[in-house]
Amino acid sequence: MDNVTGASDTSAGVEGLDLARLGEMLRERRGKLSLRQAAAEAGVSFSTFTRVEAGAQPDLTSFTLLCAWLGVSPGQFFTPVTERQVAPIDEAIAHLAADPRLAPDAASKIADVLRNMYDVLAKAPAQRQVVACHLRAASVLRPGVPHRLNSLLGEMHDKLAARVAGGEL
Amino acid sequence: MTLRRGFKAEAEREAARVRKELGLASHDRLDPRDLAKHLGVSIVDAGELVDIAELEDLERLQAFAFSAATFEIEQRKIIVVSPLRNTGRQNSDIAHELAHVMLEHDLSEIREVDGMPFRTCKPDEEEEATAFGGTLLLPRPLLLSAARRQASIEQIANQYDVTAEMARFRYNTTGVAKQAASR
Repeated sequence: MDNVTGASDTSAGVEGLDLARLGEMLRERRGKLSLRQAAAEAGVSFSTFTRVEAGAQPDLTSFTLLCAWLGVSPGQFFTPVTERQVAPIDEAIAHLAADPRLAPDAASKIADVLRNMYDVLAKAPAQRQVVACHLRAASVLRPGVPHRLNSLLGEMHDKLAARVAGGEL
Repeated sequence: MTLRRGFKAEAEREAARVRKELGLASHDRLDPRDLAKHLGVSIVDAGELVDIAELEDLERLQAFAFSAATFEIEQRKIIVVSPLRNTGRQNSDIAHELAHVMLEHDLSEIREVDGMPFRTCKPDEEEEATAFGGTLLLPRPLLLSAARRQASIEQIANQYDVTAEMARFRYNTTGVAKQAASR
């Protein structure tokens, strides 16, 4: 069954799939395995594996299987095309300035209050924590496993950090 | 991917050196927990850190989903092992992780588990750690003496507390059977 289409051209407003990165990761993960062995391990056809490694776009089933084989979240390959150009606070202020019921002075006063409150209350963008841990686990994780494993590793890390801080380790 | 030239011989020399430091003869059983102590690496049972029922749940979802992890906290290296593995498999896991430490592999690559990034090793370093870990537990002189007394794979696995897979792999790849037979 040939269910792989050629590399898609991403039109505006559609989320792009980082196929080059996917292909690269498959090649790295495959290492010295043959394409046939790797395809069998991942559960996709030989031709699918070969083409995706070369940068073609897989169908959803193959994509999910390949991500599982890589042990990565499918989400990481999506690059949002529609990025927000204007910050929400600037957008709100622009709406106020355009409100015919508000005199420019009044609009500006409300804008000042809004901006001050936003500066105080808005959270800094959350940085994803990188846990320094070398993992000895199955290379392909079944659905539901990554989530549990992740929380267990996080718990282990926190308990160990507490022990180190307490001089126990 | 193949090991770099000379790596296997280097691994044997290094395994012999560290055995000497531990006061072990080349044919003695090496307890990787003793080696960890010697290297200043702590070993913690995962059951002390998380609910063992959760580990068992994970195991039911997927066998061997988690075996071990090395954490680096405040420059301390801590190996966490799954209590669900038998001694032989735990020994392999610990030896593998200690091999990373002894080979001074950096935790460099990022691997994501459920969107959470973890720093891990490069694939070629994984292969080195697997080879060196096996060499630490079953160095060539040890296997050769076993081959000379015609010990079976199971006997080697039992005597040295390693898995039968590990014993078979080392026995077959070091060519000791042939060497023992040619005498």
